[in-house]
Amino acid sequence: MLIDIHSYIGNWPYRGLRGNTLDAMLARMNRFGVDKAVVANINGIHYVDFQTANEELNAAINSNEVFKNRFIPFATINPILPWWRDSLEICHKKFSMKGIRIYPVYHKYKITEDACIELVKEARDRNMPVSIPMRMSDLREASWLDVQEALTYNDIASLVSKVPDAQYIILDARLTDTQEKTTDQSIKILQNADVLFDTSRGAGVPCKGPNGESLHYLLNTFGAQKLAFGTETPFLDYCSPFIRIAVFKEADEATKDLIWSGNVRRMLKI
Amino acid sequence: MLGTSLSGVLCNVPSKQKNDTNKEAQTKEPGFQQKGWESMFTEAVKYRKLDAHNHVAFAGLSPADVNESCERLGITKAACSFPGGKTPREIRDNNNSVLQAMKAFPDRILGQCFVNPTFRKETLEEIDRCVDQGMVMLGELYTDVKVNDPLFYPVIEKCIGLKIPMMWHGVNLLGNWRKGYGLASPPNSSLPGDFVDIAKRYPEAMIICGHIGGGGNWEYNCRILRDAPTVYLDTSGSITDEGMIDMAIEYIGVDRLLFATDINYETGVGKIMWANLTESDRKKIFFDNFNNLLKKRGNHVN
Repeated sequence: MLIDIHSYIGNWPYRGLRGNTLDAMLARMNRFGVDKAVVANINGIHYVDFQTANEELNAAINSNEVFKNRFIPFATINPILPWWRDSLEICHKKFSMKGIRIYPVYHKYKITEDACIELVKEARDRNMPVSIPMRMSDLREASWLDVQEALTYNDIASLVSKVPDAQYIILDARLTDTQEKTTDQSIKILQNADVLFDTSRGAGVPCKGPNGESLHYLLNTFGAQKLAFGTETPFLDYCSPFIRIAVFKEADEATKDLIWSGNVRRMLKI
Repeated sequence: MLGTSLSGVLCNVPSKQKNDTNKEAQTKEPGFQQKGWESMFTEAVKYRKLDAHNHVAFAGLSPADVNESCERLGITKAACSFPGGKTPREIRDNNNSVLQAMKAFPDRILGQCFVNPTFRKETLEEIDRCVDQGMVMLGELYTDVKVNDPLFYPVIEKCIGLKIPMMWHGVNLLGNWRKGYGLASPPNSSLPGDFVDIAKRYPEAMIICGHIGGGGNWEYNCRILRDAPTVYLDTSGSITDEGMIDMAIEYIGVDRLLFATDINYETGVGKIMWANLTESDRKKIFFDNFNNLLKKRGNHVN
C-alpha cells in the first residue's frame, strides 16, 4: 500500500496551481499507484474563517463515494480564533477528519504560544496527529505579500517538548543550510516523540543540495519508524517524490515499506 | 507510458499494468495502476542525460558521491564546477579539485572552469589552462561580477573563440528585484535582464543562465528571458514547482532548455519527467541540446 501524507486542494494566492482538486489528484494517484492521500485545504491558510475551508474540504470529500475511501482529510485549525474548539469538534466528530494541520507562520502565532499548545493537547486527546508544514513556498521565489520565514526543527521540537505525548507529522521536512542548526536537545526530543518526517524534500542519493534535506540524515538520526512518503502535490512536480525513494538505496525493502505507508498506517490506525 | 506527458494535461497513454503482488493493496478501482510510479522511474533512468550544471569538491561533494548519485539517476555525464575563491591562487586550487575529479571519473565528470574576471590576466590564463586539460566550459560564474559587466567582455570573447559555453549563476530573488522585500543575493548577481543585455552584445556566444529553479522566481525568469533568444536556460535548482518547466517550454522554447541538477538529482530528473513534453522534446532537454553546444568544440558525447 502507498499513502501520500502531504497533499492539498484549494488555491494559492501567489501562483496558479493545477491538479488542486480531488478529481485531479485522484487521477494522478491512480496513474502512480497511490492508494490514499492525506489532504487539507490550503484555502484555510488565507481565509480568516479557517473553518470555511474545512467545510469546503468536507463537501468535496462527500461529493464522490470514491473520495471517501481514497482521501484522508485533515482539518486546518487556527488556534488564535475563538471558535477553534467548536471547529475541531465538528471536524473530528461530524466530518470524521483524522488529524489537523497548523500554520504558525501564516497564522502569525508562536509555535509555543498557549493557544497552540492548547490546540495540540486537544488534538492529542482526540488521537488526531498534528501536521506542521515547515514552509509552504521557497522563500527565494516568494511574493512580496508572502511570509518571509520558515520553521526549523528546533521550532518543532520546542512544541513537542511542551506536549510530548501528541503525534506529529512534519511536512516539507528540511533544514536549509542557512537556517538555524538543529540542537542536540532538539534531536533528542524528536527522537523520543511520535513524529513522522515527510520525505517530499529529502535527497535519496548521497549528494544533498543546500536547500534540501537528506533522507540518509533523517534515517540515521531518527530511524526507519519516523519517515513517511509525501508528495506535496499540487505544489511540486509529481515525479520527484517517488524518485527520491526509488534511489534511496541505503533503505532496505522493509524500511521502504514503512516509508511508503507502514509508519503512517500505524499512526492513523488504518 | 511516457510518450507524451505524466502531468495529466496531455498524457493519454496508459502505463504498463503491473501484477499486484502487494497483499496489502486495497485499491482495485478502474484505472488504478499498482506501482505505476515504478514504470515512470524505470523510463526516467533510461533516458541519456547530460547535466549542464552541477558541482564537485565544492561544499564537500566528493567525486565518488557525485558519480554514484549520477549513476542512480542515469545521468550519463555531469558538467561540474567548484565556484569561489578570493584570490587567483584559491580559484586555481578549486579548479584543480575539479580536474582531479575529472581524472578520477573520466566517464562521468566534465569540467567547468570557474573564473573571476576581476583578475583579468589570471582569468584568461586560467581558461587556457583548464581548457587545455579538458574542461569543456566556464561555470558556475558567480556573484562577483554581473554577466553584462565590461569585465566579462574579454572572457566572453575568448570563449567565443574557443567555442565553449559559459554558465552563470542566474538569480532573481525577491529582494533583488523589489528592494526592501525578502531575501536578496549580492548586488553583483546576474538578473534575467542582465542576460538579455549581454546576449544583445554577443549573440554568437553560448550563454547559459543557471538554474531556473535555483535563484528565485521562475515566472519572472521566463517572462524576461523570452527577450534573449540566444540565451540558454538550465532547468536545475531545488525549486521544482509544478508548471515551472511547462512555462519555460512555452516562453523560452524546448531548444533552449538544458537539463541540469545543481546537486538536486531527483528533482532535476523528476521535473522533466512531469513536464508536458513529447518524447523527442524530452530527449532534447535531457541530452541533445547541451550535447550540441559541446559539439562546437568537439567535446560532445557520442
